Order: sequence, then C-alpha cells, then structure tokens
Amino acid sequence: MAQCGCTDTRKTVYDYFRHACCRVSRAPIGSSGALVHGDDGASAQFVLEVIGARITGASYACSSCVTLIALCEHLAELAAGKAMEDARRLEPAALLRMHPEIPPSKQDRALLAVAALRAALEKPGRPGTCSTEELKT
Amino acid sequence: MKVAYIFSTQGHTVSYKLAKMILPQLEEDRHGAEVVGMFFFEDNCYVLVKGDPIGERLAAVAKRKNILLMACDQCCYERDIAGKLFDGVPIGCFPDLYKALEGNPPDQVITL
Repeated sequence: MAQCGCTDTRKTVYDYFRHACCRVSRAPIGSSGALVHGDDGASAQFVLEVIGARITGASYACSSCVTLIALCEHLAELAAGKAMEDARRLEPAALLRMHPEIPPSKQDRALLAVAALRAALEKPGRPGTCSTEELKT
Repeated sequence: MKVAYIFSTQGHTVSYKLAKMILPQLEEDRHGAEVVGMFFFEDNCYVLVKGDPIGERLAAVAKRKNILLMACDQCCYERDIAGKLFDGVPIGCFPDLYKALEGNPPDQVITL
C-alpha cells in the first residue's frame, strides 16, 4: 500500500504478495477443493471453512508465481465472511479490474485462482482444470 | 554462438554494460554472438519502461533481431511498472523464461 502520502490506498499485487509471504500460516481446517491446473502447469487449491452457508475462513496453496500468490491471497480475503452463493459470483474479470497493474501475459492467473476457489465451493476432491481460452469469453 | 544475458546486479549494469557495450554492438551488427534473450532483475527492469531512451533502442534492436526481452515479474510489481513496459515485453519468472527460450535456446547464459 502506498506509504508516500498520496491518496491511492488500493492494495496492489505486490502488497498481497508481501502479505502472503510475511504472515504466519496456520494449518487449514475445512473443506478442501480440487487442485486446479492452468495451461502452463501452475496450480492452486483452496480450503474453505464454512459454517452454515457462510465462509468463515479461506486458505490456499498454489504454485510459486507472484501473480498467482497475490490473486489467491486477495481471493481468500474477499471470500472470508461471504455467503457461499456470493463467493460463487466472484469473477476473474472483476479481480483483474481491481489489479490493472497485471499485464495481459499474466491475466490468466486470475482465471486459475477463481477456478480454484470455485472448485472448493463445489464438491471437494473433483479434479479441476482451467484453460486460458475461458478467459477470452 | 547463441547467448542469453541475465541482468542481475545493480550499479552500471544497464547504463554501462548494456547501453555502452552490448547495445551499440548489436545495433552495428558486430556483437560477435547471437543474442537470443535478455532477462532483467530488480532496478534493471526500469530500462524496459516505455519512454526510457535506452529501452527504446533496445526494443527496436530486439524486434529487428528477434531477441526475447523479459523482466522479472516480482521486481516489476514491487516497482509498480508491470503494466508500463514496452509493448510485447512480458514479465515472468524462470519457468516463463525457459519456456520462451525453448524454441531458440542459448548455448551460454551470461549473468551480468
């Protein structure tokens, strides 16, 4: 986040990445979604803690890619506290609008991150894949 | 011989070694090796930001000689320049670099 006195307080990809690297991870408790793979072999998997129909906590494991880590971190933050139905409505395009700093060559990471979250919202354990072709639709 | 350069160290890596040695030699077709790729770390990534005069020349010669230019993604996000690079210059990490070079691999990788 900007510390320079300017008014832009939006958290950037780098802010989320740093947060992911610096925080102390706790062992995830909850329902694990399928491990979802992207076109280039990168992968992501979410674990959701759900009480009733509400997500009380979200954690994830993903490949070592700064963009993917940041987007999974952001998605976990967005999902926590949401009703499952609302979390299903999180879209890759919306995530990318919040991060205009992500260049086109890395925008497929948003699709992978959202696909992994959605996999956790569905029946856990199903194998998941996503294609960058879907991002173009 | 095909080479790839990794601009890793700080200091005069870009302003001197690239701008005063490698780049003019490439522009004059007398570098002595075929450069297939250049990868930039940390502050060296700034040379790839649109408007940089050295970067303008580098992008032009890279286009003419089919040289891959790529900047470290983490370095660019940290400096808020990921979306401000010359057209066609991607950000990435080692998997992206290796994939991009697999069709035209270097014989030597030189870290500067």
